[in-house]
Amino acid sequence: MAYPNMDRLTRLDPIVALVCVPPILLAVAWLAVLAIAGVTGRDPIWSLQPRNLSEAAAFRDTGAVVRRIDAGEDPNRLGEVRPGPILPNAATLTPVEAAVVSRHPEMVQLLFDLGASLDANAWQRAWCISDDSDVRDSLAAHRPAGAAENCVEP
Amino acid sequence: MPAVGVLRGPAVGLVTPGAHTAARRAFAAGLICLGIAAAAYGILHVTFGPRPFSIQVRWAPDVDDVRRQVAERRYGLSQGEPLEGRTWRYALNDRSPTNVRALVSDAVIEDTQNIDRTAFQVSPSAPRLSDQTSHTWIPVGLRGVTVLCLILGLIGIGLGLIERAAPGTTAAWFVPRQRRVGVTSPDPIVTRHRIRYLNPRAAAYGLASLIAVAIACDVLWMPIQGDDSLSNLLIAQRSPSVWASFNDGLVSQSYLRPFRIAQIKALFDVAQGSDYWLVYRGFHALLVGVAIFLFTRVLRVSTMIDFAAAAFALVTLTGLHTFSGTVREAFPINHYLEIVVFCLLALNLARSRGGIWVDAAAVLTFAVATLTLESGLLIWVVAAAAWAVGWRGVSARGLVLMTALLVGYAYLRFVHLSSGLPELTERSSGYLLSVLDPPELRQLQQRFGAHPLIFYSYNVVASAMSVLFSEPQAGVFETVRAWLDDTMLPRAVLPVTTSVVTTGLIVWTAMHRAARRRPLDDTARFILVCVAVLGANAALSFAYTRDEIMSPAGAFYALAAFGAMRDGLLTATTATMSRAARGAFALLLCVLAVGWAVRSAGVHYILRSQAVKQQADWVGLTHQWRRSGLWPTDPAEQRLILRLRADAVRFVLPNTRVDHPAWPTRIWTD
Repeated sequence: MAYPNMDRLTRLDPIVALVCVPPILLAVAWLAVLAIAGVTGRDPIWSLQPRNLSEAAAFRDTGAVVRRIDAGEDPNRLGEVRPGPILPNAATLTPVEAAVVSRHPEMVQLLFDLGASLDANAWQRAWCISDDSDVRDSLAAHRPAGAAENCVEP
Repeated sequence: MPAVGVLRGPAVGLVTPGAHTAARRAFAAGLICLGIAAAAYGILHVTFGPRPFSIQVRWAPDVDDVRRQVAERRYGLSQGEPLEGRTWRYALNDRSPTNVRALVSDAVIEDTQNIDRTAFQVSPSAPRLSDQTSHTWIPVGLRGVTVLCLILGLIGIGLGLIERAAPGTTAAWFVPRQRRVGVTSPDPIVTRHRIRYLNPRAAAYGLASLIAVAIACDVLWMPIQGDDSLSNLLIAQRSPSVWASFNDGLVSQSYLRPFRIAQIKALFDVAQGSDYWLVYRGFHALLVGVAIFLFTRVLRVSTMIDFAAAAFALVTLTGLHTFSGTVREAFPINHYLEIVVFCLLALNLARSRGGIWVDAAAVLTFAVATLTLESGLLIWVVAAAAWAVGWRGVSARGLVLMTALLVGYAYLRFVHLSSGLPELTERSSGYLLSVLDPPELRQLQQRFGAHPLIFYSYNVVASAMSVLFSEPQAGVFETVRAWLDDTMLPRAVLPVTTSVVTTGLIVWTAMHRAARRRPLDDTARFILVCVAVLGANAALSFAYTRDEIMSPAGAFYALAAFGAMRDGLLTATTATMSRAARGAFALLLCVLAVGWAVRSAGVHYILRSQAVKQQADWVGLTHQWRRSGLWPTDPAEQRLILRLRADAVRFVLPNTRVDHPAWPTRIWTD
């Protein structure tokens, strides 16, 4: 390209440098994030990893749910869900209850597909903590005999 | 040369040029302070959001801990603190009328305080709580910087404006520095900051490589897409050969895309029954790299200003929402990205020295692209527009050949095969504030009756506006909807703001050149070709609007942005403007570069979110197909599905689904 005064164009003016910096920082930071994730196995931004099957269900981590059940974990076992991402306080829940609390009907269905089952009391508890119609539809399709839908309302 | 203070007489009562300079500097410093204030406030707003209101809630007697926590989460109640009995104090994070209405209507909540239960609003007298962070000094510090810089900025700008309106009023307040009269310093512009060993072209390719590698890694860190992709893979598996797939594509009733399925079949065969992820995702990553390389190559960077403009153009290319459509999905090849590659290849050919091989390559590119997707017709537009503006690497002979192929394509499609045009109601399409599915589109079609042109015109205009202003996106005015719903977040504001300013910069550059009747240079050519491609691309989107269809126009918009930014930097670094105006203009360009870099970083978020979504699709797919009777009876097809599902499940992916942390969802949308 022919410009007058080419010499001016080959210098790094502060303004030119300021325009260059954001894209360069972006590229370096992006690669740094990927490198950290590759080396440590944890993304520096989304570092939340489930500690048990209930947390995997609560965090809607379908891949972790399948991997854990394939590895032999009991899909009905109680597990502690840490405070923060889903509930303000820690809670001990079954994977299905955790999926209900996180309002994820697909996860509820997946857990039933992978062998989870609820007795009448557990089903009623899950039903009553559910506040999502799709989740309740999933639960209703797996309602055990003797389970009641009534939750005491004020 | 900067102004030098020269005392022309007795200092008392006289205004010196140095004093004027000081006033101008105060104006420029004021602008910078305002910029810092805006940045600090933006960080504060994006990271912590508005300070929440404090409300009190009395829970119903039968509500146990888990039900209470579920309701707290549902209504955005945080920082819970039990007061007495069943009454708790909370920070209300979501104060939209919809949420407040749902909260006060819920049977689990007996009573509330600090909420207007008829207007469904937080009471104006409700106290505000501190920001939700354990490092309270950060928001406090950011607020302090915001206020301080705002005050300093207003003072500086005020002084500058007063000086401009009434020369001498404020300049006399500034004491000029004593300087030696008659001593000329060497031109600081020439001697300062010279980079002796940095090759701008190499730097541009280096930066492009970093960005390409980052996106390619993110693309590779995804399973193959399920659902729509799987149906294409099953078709490829059933096909005996690539040639048979090509022939099947030729006789399709709806579309003439024989190369599309032939490519899927070719890669399927390369995978040899096992390496599907590596082959398809590897091809996708390769396409990303090729697109970014061709984009950088066509810029022909030769100076540092070119490099800065190229850096800006690269984040514009990758940050524009049309680009995310080329990496977000693949069925299992992203053909829209292929069209972007073909268009950029055509432009590179047009900018070459030409020759028979260049013409042959251009004709071949056109043929392959057109038989892959209808958007491939844009190759002809690129070549013709480039030829018209003076880039004649693809000669008149090549263009005539391409035109003959274009006519042949039209004959083949509309006369011989009678494929026709896509129906209005064939696919979902955005319209004003919502996406209309085919049943709703049928109603819309009935409303327009014999005037479908209204709907087609909407699609064309919406598609063009989408590239220029990032609004509407996929035909839907998302920012307007967010504003109406009182859910305005940076993710809605940032795209529109950066696009509007960039389009303004392009328009300013074009008008500036037209007014001065300057001969066509590369900047003008980039803008003109962009206009041609944008118009043609929008016209091709007449039947339905989707962001990825506009991805070629998005790439050419980034080329126009390159030219505009280069012109802007040339203006900002030369002495044709006043120092204050230069400072303000430079600040604008820098803030714009930051905005586009933030948008570009959103590609990482989009791809991480998509990876999780695609994995979830695979996990549920086998059970769904079995339940709905879609599970294939052919053992080979079963093996393929189970293999792809196993590939998808083995990915350990960052979890973007629980909004933890929450700030990415405030800035970017997936």
